[in-house]
Amino acid sequence: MYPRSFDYFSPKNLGEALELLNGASETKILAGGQSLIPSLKLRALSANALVDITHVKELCYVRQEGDLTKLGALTTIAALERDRTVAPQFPILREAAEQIADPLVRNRGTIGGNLCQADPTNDLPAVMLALNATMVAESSRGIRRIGADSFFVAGGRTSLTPEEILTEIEVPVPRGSVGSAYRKVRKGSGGFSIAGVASCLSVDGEGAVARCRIGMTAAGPKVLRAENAERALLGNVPTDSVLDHVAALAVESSQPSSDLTASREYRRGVLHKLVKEAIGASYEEAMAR
Amino acid sequence: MQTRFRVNGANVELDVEPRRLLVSVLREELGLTGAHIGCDTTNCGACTVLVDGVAIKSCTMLAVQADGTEILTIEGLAKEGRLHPVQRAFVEKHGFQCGFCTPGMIMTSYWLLSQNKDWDEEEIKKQLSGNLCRCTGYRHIIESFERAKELAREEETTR
Repeated sequence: MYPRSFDYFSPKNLGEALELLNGASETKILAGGQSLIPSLKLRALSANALVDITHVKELCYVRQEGDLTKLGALTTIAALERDRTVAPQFPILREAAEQIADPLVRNRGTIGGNLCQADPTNDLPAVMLALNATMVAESSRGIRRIGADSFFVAGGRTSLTPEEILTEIEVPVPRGSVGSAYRKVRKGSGGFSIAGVASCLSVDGEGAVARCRIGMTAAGPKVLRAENAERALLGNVPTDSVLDHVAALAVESSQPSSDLTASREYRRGVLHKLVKEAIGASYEEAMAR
Repeated sequence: MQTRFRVNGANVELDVEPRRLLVSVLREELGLTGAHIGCDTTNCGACTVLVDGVAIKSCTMLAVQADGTEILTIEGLAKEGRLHPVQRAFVEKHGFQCGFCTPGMIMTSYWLLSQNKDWDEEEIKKQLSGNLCRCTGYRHIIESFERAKELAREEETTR
């Protein structure tokens, strides 16, 4: 189906793009378009105007700056998947990237788009929650930093204002023995998450979990953090029985829906397994460092 | 909206509504019906073309976004009547039945070959996972890709 008519702008740089957003109504940012265009075609979303920022090449990068890893919001998922310089510190980034949709979609889809679409089945929100990332939002008025915990407001909604563009994601470089992982069960066609779990944890000298964060994909109306599960893991070595208990708490705090893809009960069962697998893999990596 | 790009080596200048998708413009304005609309939901990949050397789903890109780019479609592979090694491989290994997914399979294969990597079968399956086929069960498609690798290597060494 064709989208409803819209005006289209293709700014050459960030400044131009931000100008276009000032005072605009019903205007959406177009990046890779791999979530937005399908929604427009189905008429699930509509816009009076699209501001295409794909020519703002200065927002495509993966780099290290001191103790921060910085991801440009227009970096494609494919580029993130291929990155060997910075991303190896965070296996979770490559693991999540390579499981998103398919290679063709990843060639155009962007990190920023995946985060800003904020559909509960998008994978990167849970990853950024686990990594305690900071989203950098720019508008004509200046720059605002938003912690991942406050960025994802509701299904399909972030805390960005209509005049803001997500330009960069800052990930604190882990100190000490840290491990991270993303585990997902996906629908065959399209690669949508039936459920996904992102975890990032650090271990102390005795091999007990010192810090951890767990994000869950497709586990509720928006991306969720499993805070009760995190608390139960702290100070413990993740034995099988500890993992079972932690996973049960995560599932308890989830609110998965039943839809054409999977039932609520199935999602809960899958989440339980994925929590154990993700934490197990993160722990193994942390202990190996 | 005026949009300028190159398709299969030729310059194109069109006035299209921003909401038109690249696949529709290729098919309807340019008569390049090799890119197929199989699903309209970004799943099947029958619409795969190369934009600036990268394989993408043309049903999920606006035609106006093609401005300034270099596009390669299935029609652009054969040179002076001689099929490209990828196309010859698909013929040789019978990599199609109804043919609807085939242009997409071939364009993605072409893109994969251009990366000069050696993938094993599991990786080939992953790389082709954006292209769906309802007829073949994929076995002959994978064999066609592997044959295409051989043919491409042969062509290189005989140049």
